[in-house]
Amino acid sequence: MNTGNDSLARLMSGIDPAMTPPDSALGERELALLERVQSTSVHIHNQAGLRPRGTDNGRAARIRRFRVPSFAVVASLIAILVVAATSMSLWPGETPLARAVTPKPLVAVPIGDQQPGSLLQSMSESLGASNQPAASRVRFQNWALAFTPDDPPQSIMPQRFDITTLPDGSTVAERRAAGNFDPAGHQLSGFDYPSPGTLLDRQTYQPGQYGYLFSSPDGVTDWGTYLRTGGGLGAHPSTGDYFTAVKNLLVERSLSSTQHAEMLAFLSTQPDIRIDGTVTDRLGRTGISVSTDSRDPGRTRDVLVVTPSHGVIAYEHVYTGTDRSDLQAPAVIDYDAWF
Amino acid sequence: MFEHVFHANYVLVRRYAERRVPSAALAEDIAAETFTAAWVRYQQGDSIELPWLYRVASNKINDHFRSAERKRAVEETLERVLSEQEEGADTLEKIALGRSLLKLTDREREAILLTYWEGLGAAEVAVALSCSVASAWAILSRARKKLRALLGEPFVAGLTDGGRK
Repeated sequence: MNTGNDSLARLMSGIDPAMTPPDSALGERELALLERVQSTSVHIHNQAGLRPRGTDNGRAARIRRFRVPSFAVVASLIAILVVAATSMSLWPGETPLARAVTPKPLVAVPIGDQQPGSLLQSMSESLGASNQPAASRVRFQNWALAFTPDDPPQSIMPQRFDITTLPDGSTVAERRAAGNFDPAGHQLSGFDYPSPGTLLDRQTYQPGQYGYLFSSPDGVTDWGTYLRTGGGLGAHPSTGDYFTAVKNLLVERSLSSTQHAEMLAFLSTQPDIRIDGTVTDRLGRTGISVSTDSRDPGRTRDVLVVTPSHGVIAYEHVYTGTDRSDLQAPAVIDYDAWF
Repeated sequence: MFEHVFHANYVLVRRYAERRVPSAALAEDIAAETFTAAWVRYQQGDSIELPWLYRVASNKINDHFRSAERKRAVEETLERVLSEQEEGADTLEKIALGRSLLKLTDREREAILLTYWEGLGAAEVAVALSCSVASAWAILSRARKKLRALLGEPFVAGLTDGGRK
């Protein structure tokens, strides 16, 4: 668009934070990245020879991908959520100081022979018949692996999020402590951590200020396009990509039972889904676990726990690979459980 | 060839990330993740255009930061560049602009940044924001109007073509 010679253009140019010169030539580091990108289809985060650099905190801080609303007050805490889930935490040649504590994977009890598509379609039909409206709140419990090589977490501290849309269109987002656990899910004591339910942060957003990735689900007829668009997926995403898009949608939007059923119906058409079996999720509820490793074959699995009455009630990201010395596969890297 | 795409766009994407996240290391990671996604797309036979790369980078940044944190990330990058400013006639204006940018919505601010820092045209901004060209114009128009009000002065809109830096 024409920016012309307006004064805004001049001022914007004067506060441009970009550090790399625009005419910067690609050096060995960038060419090495190109080579690695072209030689692998999996995430090359950190595998491209990008050594962690010292940040202002004196240690390379890798902000790991997480899908929770986070607020200015806890920015420093969130900054501790480091290391990309799909990257090596430690560089080749380094000796791990310790392994990260992670939640015990959900235990699935196999169910009878059924095709994943049929199962999800059946779930969709049951859910759609319930005719429940979308709630005004999105509530979920989240945990994500936070790891720094010299200070690996020794307990599991999930948090609960409550995002409420008020009648005036404003949004209130709250984050609360949800306890301190060992891998088996037993509450721990003796740690200096807020008791469960303690409000850690609250933020209020004026109408239109909350940065939704997904537009309103009202009126959606093409759930594939809706998930691809909001999820920032390419033209041909994997089923695992769709699983993560569903997760990213549900942490910010509430769906009616009809909408949720339509979304499940779309998922039922996707390939590469495995029925793991019946599981009890982190909040003690029974559901069917379905999963896929299509997003990161041989390295991670994306898991959805679904029920015929509520649809997707949980998401888990599980490391299944062999290239990380800080994790023992299978290891849960992050999870969300909606309630 | 993909190499051409990489050579032509890596620095641009890297600069895009540097403008939106406070850490140079994170910006580098964002660029790396973006081109990984681009390689997958390329292998599927789809074209790779710069606005698409910006959209992917934006999503990667979104993966790292949620809502208020995105604003905080931009705030930190602006604080850094403003703290490095030499005292000049327009220092106060720049500081005011930096603060005013943070008062825009995420999409308005992104439209402004894509237009003035990335130098994108209307159609390209639309792709990057995943909206129609008309919407992109409307978002930018609204953003400029807000900035005018916050800064208390009109912008003189010239007619020369905008373009990539």
